[in-house]
This record gives sequence, C-alpha cells and structure tokens, in this order.
Amino acid sequence: MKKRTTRAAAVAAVAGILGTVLAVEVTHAASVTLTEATRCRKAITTQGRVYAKKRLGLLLGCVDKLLKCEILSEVDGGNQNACRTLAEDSCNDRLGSGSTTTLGKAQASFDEKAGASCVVFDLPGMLSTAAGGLWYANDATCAASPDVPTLIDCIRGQIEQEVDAAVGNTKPRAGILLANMGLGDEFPNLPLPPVQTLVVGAASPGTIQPPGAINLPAGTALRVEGDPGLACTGGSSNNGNLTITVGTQSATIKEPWGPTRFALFGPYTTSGSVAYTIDLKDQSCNDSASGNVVIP
Amino acid sequence: MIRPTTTETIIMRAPARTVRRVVTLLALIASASYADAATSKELLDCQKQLESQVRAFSNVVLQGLAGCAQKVVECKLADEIDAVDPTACIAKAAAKCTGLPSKVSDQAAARQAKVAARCGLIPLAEIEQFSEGLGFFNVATSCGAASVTALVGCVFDAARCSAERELFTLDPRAQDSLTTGGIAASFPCVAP
Repeated sequence: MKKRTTRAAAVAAVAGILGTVLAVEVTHAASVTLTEATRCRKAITTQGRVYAKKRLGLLLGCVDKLLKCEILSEVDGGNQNACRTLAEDSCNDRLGSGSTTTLGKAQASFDEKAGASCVVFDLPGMLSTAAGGLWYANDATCAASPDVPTLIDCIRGQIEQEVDAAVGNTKPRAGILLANMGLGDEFPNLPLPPVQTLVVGAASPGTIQPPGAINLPAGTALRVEGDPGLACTGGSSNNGNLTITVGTQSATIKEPWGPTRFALFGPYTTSGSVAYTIDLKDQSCNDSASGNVVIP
Repeated sequence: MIRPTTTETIIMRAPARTVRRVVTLLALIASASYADAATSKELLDCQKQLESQVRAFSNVVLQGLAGCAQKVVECKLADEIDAVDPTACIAKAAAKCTGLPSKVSDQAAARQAKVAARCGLIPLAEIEQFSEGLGFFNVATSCGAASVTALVGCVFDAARCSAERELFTLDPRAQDSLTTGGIAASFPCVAP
C-alpha cells in the first residue's frame, strides 16, 4: 500500500513538473517576428534615452562652464579669459563635430546598437502602422527613410532637436554662449533670440568707421562682425583683434574678419542706453570707437 | 537713583538687543531682496538648482512613461503577431501605469519648491536679463510669467512636455499604449 502511494505521488509530481514546463513553453514561445519586433523597439527606446541623456548632460555641462565665466565677468568684473579658454577647450573636446568627441562617440553608439537590433525586423516592419508594426511611418519627418540606418539616423535627429530645445528652455543663454565660441552651427536647434547685425566697417584700412548710436529693439541680440577691409595695410599677417565691449559684456573677434566670425551681445530687456567701445589692434594700426546701444 | 543690579541689567538689555538684531536682519534681507543686485554666486546657484531639478524631473517623466508604454505594447505586439490573448497582460500593465499621473504631479510640485527656495529671492528682472542675468526674458515672455514662481512653473511644464514628445519620437506607439493604459489624457504631449 505504502509503495503504491509513493509511486503514485512520484508520477503525479513528474506529471505536474511536465505540465508546468509545457505551460511555460506555451506562454513564452514567441515567434521570431515577435522577438525581433520587441528587440528592435526596445533597442530604439532604451538606446535613444541613453543618447538623449548623454547629449543633455554634455550640453548642460559645457554651458555651465561657459556661463560661469560670463556671469563672473559681468557681475564681479575682472578678466575671465583664462576661464573662457578652459571652458571652450572642454566644450570642443566633448561637443565638437568630429567622431572622436564624446558626443560623436555617443551618436555612433546609438546608431550602431539601435541599427543592429533592427536589421532582422527590417524597415517595412518598423514603418508599418498595421498590426504588429512599430508605427514609425507616423513620424512625418522620418517616414520616407529608405533603409534602417537612415531611419535610425533620422530618429536620432529628432531626439537631438528635442534635447537641444530642452537645453534652451532650462539654460536660455546656451545658444548665445555656444554661438560665441563657434559651436553654434553644431546645435541649430538651440533657441537664439532675434539678432541685429552690426558690421564694423573701415573708414580706411586699419581705421574704424564709427557706428554712432546703435538702436536695438528690446529682446534682440546685437551681432557684431568685422569688415575684412579693417585689416591694416602693409602686412599679410592674420593676427588682428577687434575687441568689443557692450556694458559689462566683452568679446574679441580675431582676424580674418567677415561674416563667419562674430560675437553676440545682449539682448537687453529694459529701455535705456548701454555704452559700447570697439577697439581695433592689428600690427601698427590701433583705433577705437565708442557710443551707446540705445534700447527704446 | 537706584541702579539695577548686573543681573537685572542683562535681563533688561537682552530683549532690546534681540529686537535690534532682528530689525537689522530684516533690513538686510529687505535690502538684499529689493535693492542689491544678485551676486554671481546667487545667480549661478539658482541656475544650477533649476537645471538639476528639471533634469531629475524629466527623467522621472520619461522613465515612468516609457516603462508603462513598454509593458502595454509588449502585450499588444504578442496579441497582434502571435495571437496571444492580451486581456490579463494588459490589465496587469495598466495597473502599473495608474499611479503615474499623480507621481509626476507630486514630483513637479516638490522640485519646483526646491528651485523656488534657491531662486525666489532674486528679482525676476535679473533672472530674465541676458547680461548679468540668466536670460529667461523670452521664456518668461512667451508663457506670460510675472513672477519667479510662475517662471519656474513654465520651465517645468515645458520640460514635461519635452520628455513626453521625446517618448513619442522613440516609440510612435506610445500614445496608443498610454491610451490603453488609461493615462493618455494626463500626458497630452505624447503625440505627433
């Protein structure tokens, strides 16, 4: 009796285990299509968040450094050129356009990881808005992507727009600070205020044509660039400097002058006058002009 | 004239000294708030606190929403591709999404209070100006903020919306998933 009971219990136990194993098998036996769809979607969302976080951190970190130098210069006075040089070097290493910068590596990592996870599921499945698709065709900007790498690249571009706009919302001076250090073109989605350009003209080579009073609407930044004709005659060196000071803000534009080298000031938010000076130093030529920026 | 004892003198003088100190302190606070411009440290601390709280808040929003959307979409994909009954799976996923709107609102309120504590004594005009300030003029103008508290609220609202849009970019099925999870109405920026 006792033996029979033991055997029956053992059989029941084995049957139970088998049943459980089979049930688990039935529950988790996802098809290849489902596995790949899930893998692709998860890779894009996970890697996309990782990349967005990285880009946000790098941008905010760089702007932190730049902003600190500017605030210290504007509020406490003193020369912050060393502070600016350190900050700009750090920003160039992290955010510059090359593939070896920290940002470049993060971009490559997203493209590689997300792309590799979606190769099997492929473009039609990713774009499809039908049952079982990932619906990327609903993104008007990326819907026409011809292949997986292009779609992944396009999604990254969308993330970048969103992140850069978020940086502008949290640190509104970011756009101006990056533009002033020459990284503005890398981040076109960082919001910039409206801009009015002043080209510092030459009365003759090596001499400034005084701009007089500069009328600037409230909320508009003053963009200053130098006319190439400012260069001192008699030499071919490109080491002239145009130093502009508006109120407590100051910047130096190095030769060669022209529209690609500029400095942004302000914007000024209350009506009144802000004094400016422009100093030219190029070889033997020294000249300066001064006046007021008038905000109505 | 009878002079008070030393003990009496101390007892009598103490309240007067305290009152004088309090008055001096109030005068200092008043002058710091309304007359003196913010120091560079105050401006930088305010900016740092705002940035730090907004980043943490955005993470909470994005992480919470992405988690909810993922649980729901996995149920739906299994149904659509492998014809697995999604009922129990979705019910379980939706239960995990339910608390998200209140969690996000609570986080926003707590973090905004922390920013206000750091930035609240700086006049709005100084936070708005680009020179010797933080440059929030256009942000404040576009959302009609007339106080530092209102401006901080605007920045948080924009950050929340940005996190929601980011989710939609990464996962175009997210709006549908949140609708199934019963919380889409609380996150209107999860949309094209």
